[in-house]
Formats: sequence, structure tokens, C-alpha cells
Amino acid sequence: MTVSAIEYTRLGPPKLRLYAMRCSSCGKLSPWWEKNHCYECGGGDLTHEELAGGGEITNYTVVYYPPRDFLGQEPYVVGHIQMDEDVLLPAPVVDVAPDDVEVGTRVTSTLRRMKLGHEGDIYYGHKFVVE
Amino acid sequence: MAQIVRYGAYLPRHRISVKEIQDFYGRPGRPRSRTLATPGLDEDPLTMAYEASVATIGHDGAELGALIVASQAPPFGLRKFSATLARALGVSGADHFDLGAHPAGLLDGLALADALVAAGRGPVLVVASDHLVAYEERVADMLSAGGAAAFLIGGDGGVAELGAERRASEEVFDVWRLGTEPEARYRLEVLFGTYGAVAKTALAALEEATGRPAGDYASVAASQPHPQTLRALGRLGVGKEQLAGTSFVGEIGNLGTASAGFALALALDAAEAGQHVLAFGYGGGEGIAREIEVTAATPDSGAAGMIEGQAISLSTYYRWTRGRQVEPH
Ligand SMILES: [Zn+2]
Repeated sequence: MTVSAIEYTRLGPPKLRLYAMRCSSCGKLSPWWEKNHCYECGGGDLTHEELAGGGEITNYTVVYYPPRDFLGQEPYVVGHIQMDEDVLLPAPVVDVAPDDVEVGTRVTSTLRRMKLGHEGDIYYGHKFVVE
Repeated sequence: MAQIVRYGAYLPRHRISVKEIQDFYGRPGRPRSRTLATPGLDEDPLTMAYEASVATIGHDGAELGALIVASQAPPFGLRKFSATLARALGVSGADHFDLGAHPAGLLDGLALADALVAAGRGPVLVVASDHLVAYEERVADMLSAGGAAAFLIGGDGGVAELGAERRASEEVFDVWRLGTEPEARYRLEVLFGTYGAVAKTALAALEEATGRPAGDYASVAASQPHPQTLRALGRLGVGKEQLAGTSFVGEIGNLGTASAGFALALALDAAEAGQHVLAFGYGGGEGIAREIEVTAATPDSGAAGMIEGQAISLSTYYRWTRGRQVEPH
């Protein structure tokens, strides 16, 4: 799976809580934006499940020319995080120099500002910091 | 009296050299602080409050009766900071209260938590989190830093007991703001004078209540908007050694409402069972002094290790300060 620098911002408003969706058919977790479709079996009955926040970087890229909402924070890392609960989430990895990140680095979630909406609503969501 | 059951602290890791800022703006004089603890552009008092809260109660707030947040710089107005923090923490059953506009808000929060616990509405999480956004080349900006501290107050099972509290206040204009104007007005000489005056009155009243003079506490955890205010405590019988482990304004700047809280976390980390700590909050002409008795071995919040941080460049600091003015934090 490749990492897209802007993929994360296209996933809709981020959330105050970090969670994933548990499939009632096969029991697998899918990312939080999958409300009606299990990644594993295609099942349509999914329920919220909170994540503890720990995970590991499986892939990442360094963003030097960020989308508008992240201007001023460059350069920063966007990675795919394999959560301990066995679900893959894309997210920024912050407060770390890009050189200090590698595949396999342990990370933990942290609440951060994601963007200011065009009508002034502040979107918070979970980024990750190196453990 | 209620007890401090657990506590936690958070400092953003970025440090900007105050000398570099002064050099850039051509401001003369010795820097009042070596660096400023500067939140990243994606941090604000809510995210820092979240960090200090998670450090204190983890991800489990199910038992909380109430959540009190003190901040002078909530990221938004006309809605509750504490309500959003409660949602972020997954706390659904607790009442939430905001305390604003006062750098000694943590001490107000502890007083309210004490009463709530006595009324059976605890345990209470009291969080102080602040970052007064810096503007350019003003004296107050040269000390404007961010941080947070949180204290879980309950009826039993704690590591320290909230003791007597005494207050003193004078009607002065030292640091204030009119309405919603973005920049603080300040008269440093009034701040220094009033800080010393109300501390003197409050500490004398506390000594009368407890029989313990200020010099007899193991340490003193004080609001420290400016290094000069710590010297005012020295003139009231507080020894250098009582402030040595709790002073940071000269290293990382003024943490606003979080100042007394971060100092208290440092004091508790270093304290042993049986010792007494003096917490002193100051803001807007009011001083609040509270005795805290350490009753058990305290866990290490790691606060002392957060002070060092990592240097950022002047250009990064400038970009973030600009960013905060464009999109208010
Ligand atoms: Zn499934």
C-alpha cells in the first residue's frame, strides 16, 4: 500500500476519539471511515470500537509541500500505522525529525489540531508521536 | 479534606531561544528566560490539556464525577472547553466546568474540587492548560509559553491531602485585557508589587491557620509569570532551596494557568511522605495559598525531564507565531 501525502485530509472530519469499526460477521477491524463495508469480508454490520493508541509504522513518506491545512508544519511525516488491535490507519507522525523515523518505529496516538474549517470550526484528530 | 490521587503534566517539546527573538527584534537587555516552551502549530490548550489528562487518568474516565478546566486561552469562545475535553477523553457521565481569565485558576479548581468531593460528586479531574499567543516584540511575549497539568482529586487512596487555603486580593490592573482584544495589557511594576503584597497577606493567614511558616515547607510551587515574582517570595521567608526544584520561568517561560500546576507536579514528584508542599497561585491581584500534605510515595510524572526540550529555529517560531495570528489558536 503506498502512502499519499493528501490521502489523510480527504477522509472527512477527523475525530476526538480514536476508533475503528468491528465487523460482526468476520470479527475484523476496518478503519474508522468505513461505516458500512468490512475490508475483510464485505459485511455491512460494523460497530465502533475504541483503540488504545499504540501501533507501529509500516510505511511512510515525508511531506515538504503540504496541503493548505498543514501549511507551516512541513516537513512532516505521514505514515501508515499498524495499530496493536490489527487495523491499518494513515496518520501524521509529529514532533519527530523525518530522519528519526523508520519502518517498525513504535508510535502512540496524540490529540492534535487537524485544520480550521472554512466556517471556523476546529477539527481535532489523532496524530502519532514516537514512543 | 480531599486528596490528590494522581497527577500528570505536559510540555510541548519545542524550545525557542529568547535571546534569538530579542536579537531579531532588536530588543536590548538580558533575556528573562533562556527559552520558551512553544506548542507546535497543531497544538493548543485543548490538545495540551488532553495530554496532561491522559497522563493522569489514562484513557479511562468512566469513574469521574466532574471535570474542571482552567485556561486563559481556550481555543474557542461561547462553548465549553471542558465539554470538548470530556468528549476527547471519553468521559460521558461527568459534569464539566470551565474556569477562565485567571492565571491562578488551578487553585480555584482545587478549591471547587475539594467541595465537590465533600458533596459526593467526585472524583474530580482538575486541568490547567494555557498558551497565551505571542505577538511581536512586546515584553510579555518574551515570556509567553505553553503547557498543562492535571490533578485527580478524590476522597481516598491519594498521595497527598489538600490542606488549609487562604486568599488575599487587591483591586489592581497588572495584566489584563479589554473585552475580546487579542493582546494583553500589562504593567509589570504593578504585577511585581502586588504579587509580593498579596503573597505576604495570604501566607501570613495560612501560617495562622496551620502554624507552619512559609520557610518550613519542603518546597513551594508557585505561579511564576516572571522571574521577579519568585524573588518576591524570597523576601517573604521562602528559601532558594524551596524553589530550586519548582522554578522554571527562567528556563521555559510563563505557562500562564498551567504555571502553578506544573510547579506542583515538580514539587510532588520530589516530595516524600510526611512532607508539606505550599502551592501558591497568583493572578489579577489575587493570591491563593494552599497547604498540601504528602501522605504516600508519589509517582514520577516526569515533569522535570520535560523542561529541556528540543531547539527550534527562529524561522520556525516566526512561522508558527504568524500561523497562530492568521488562524487564531
Ligand atoms: Zn467482515
